[in-house]
Amino acid sequence: MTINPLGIHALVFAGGTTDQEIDRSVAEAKAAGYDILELSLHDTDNLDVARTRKAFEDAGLDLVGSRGLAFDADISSEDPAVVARGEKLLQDSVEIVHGLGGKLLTGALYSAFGNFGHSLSAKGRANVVSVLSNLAVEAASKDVTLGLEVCNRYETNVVNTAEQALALADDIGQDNVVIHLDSYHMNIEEDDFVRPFQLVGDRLGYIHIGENHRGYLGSGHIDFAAFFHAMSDIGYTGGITFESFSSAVVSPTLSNDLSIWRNLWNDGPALARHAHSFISNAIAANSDER
Amino acid sequence: MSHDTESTRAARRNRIGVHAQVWVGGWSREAATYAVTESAAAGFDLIEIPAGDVPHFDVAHTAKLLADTGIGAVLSLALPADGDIASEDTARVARGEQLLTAAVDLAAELGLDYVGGVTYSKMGLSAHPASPRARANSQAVLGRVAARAAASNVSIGLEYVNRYESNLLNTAADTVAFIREIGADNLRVHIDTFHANTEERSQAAAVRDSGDLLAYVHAGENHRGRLGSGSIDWSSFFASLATSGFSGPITFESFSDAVLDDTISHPLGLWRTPWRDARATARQAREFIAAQLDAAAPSS
Repeated sequence: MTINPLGIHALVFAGGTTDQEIDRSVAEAKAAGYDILELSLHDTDNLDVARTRKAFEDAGLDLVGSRGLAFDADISSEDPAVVARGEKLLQDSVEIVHGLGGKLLTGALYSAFGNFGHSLSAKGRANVVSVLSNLAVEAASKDVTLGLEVCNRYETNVVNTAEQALALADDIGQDNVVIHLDSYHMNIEEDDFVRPFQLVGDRLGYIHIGENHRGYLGSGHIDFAAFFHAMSDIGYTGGITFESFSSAVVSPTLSNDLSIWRNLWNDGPALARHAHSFISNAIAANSDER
Repeated sequence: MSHDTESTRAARRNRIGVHAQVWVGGWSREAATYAVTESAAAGFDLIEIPAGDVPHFDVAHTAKLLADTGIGAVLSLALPADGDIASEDTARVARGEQLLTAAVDLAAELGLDYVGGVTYSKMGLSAHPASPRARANSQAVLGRVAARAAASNVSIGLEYVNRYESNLLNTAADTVAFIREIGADNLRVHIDTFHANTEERSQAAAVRDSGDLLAYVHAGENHRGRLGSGSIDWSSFFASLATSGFSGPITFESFSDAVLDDTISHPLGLWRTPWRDARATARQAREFIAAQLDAAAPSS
């Protein structure tokens, strides 16, 4: 019995969000015992919001929406037109999450996804703060929280560490903006798996758990004992969502952006069951309630 | 520096190297003099010199620096997008072959025996997986370049990198398979702990999978800052190297925008400043590697 709701990213099961793909992801997430299903919002053109909301409700699953931005729609840009397109994408995403009955929109909400070829400018950062401040107010009116996911250097030049995420959240200054840590990214950017938890404390709102190579949990080298000790020590009771990607499941919009070249597994449902067991076991082993 | 006497250094089977870009961004005569002198003064056995700009390389000047200081050297390069031999574009493949050939010829001219790096594809984000034809083009080029290198006793290291820097080779096992298919004796595996940290099951697995093809190691922390300040399991890595009998160089790699300009730092995704004092960073790294080697040595 774990105190944290456990989630899984839909790309474990399906590459997109057509009706058929939604139905498969919902059924498999539920069958593997999860409480949360995270949907990437990069592919919402063929997403039937009302139908998907009902599928989640019928299954008793919570929804989390996630996304990054694009180079032509990026709120960390200095170009007002590019910033405006990024802001529009975020506003639409808040609307979609709300329509789906979700309470959290998270990810690299602060920038495009990829290597920029330049550092973040002061003006670009000011645009991030301004857009996300307004977005947070709008999201609050719909009871939606915004998560700032800390991502690695190859995915963004805006937030690579927990420290930077806190600084950005401070500047945004809205209560419904939380920090989102991801063990895969922490393995590349942070000094260890403990200090980021201590630093973020009760401002931690969401966790992605992923192995260093994004395959099976426990098949890599991330020190999950330290990770779960640190999580337990700050009393975190929020969602923990498993993220894993393999060339076996291809998203036309996401796979190449995430540089998924390797086949790390073929059977998504088997992977999902394993991860649920792994996370539950780790929480049980490392919580205070022994 | 305390425990590192002449006798412990003589007993060590691995040379300890430093990447030139810890010191300098280019290889002008002034930069070369500074980098080689500092490397030698910090006690390194070897410096890794960038061979991406062969036409402007002053061979006699570098050769004299190496002779005067008595330290060894290897060359490295990372193929650019317009020289991507793992491409279907024949112009890019041909350009990449030229760059590799020039680097091999430069090594021969300097009397060096190793050219490593991202020698099998471009270094950088890819928009799609590597196609079978792109892979075959890379192997064909490397087969020809390896044959030319063999005549000068030069080995070519294939440094596999993380998914964000190449779509072709991300693990030691894939690199070994790739080399075996080409079938040239002087193509070797080059492990970089920073990249292995993202892609491998463990650092130990990377060493094991490389087997006797392992020729060269980059020691880089998980965030590419100071060695020992991050999360890489160094004792396990060095124990694996000792057990495997690896006797090649171990070279410190770390990058800072305190040293490098934007044209080098931005493709690496270097958005933070991990350190400002190159000399202090390099000396600490050399001590760290020496202490790890001595602790893991079979006799200790």
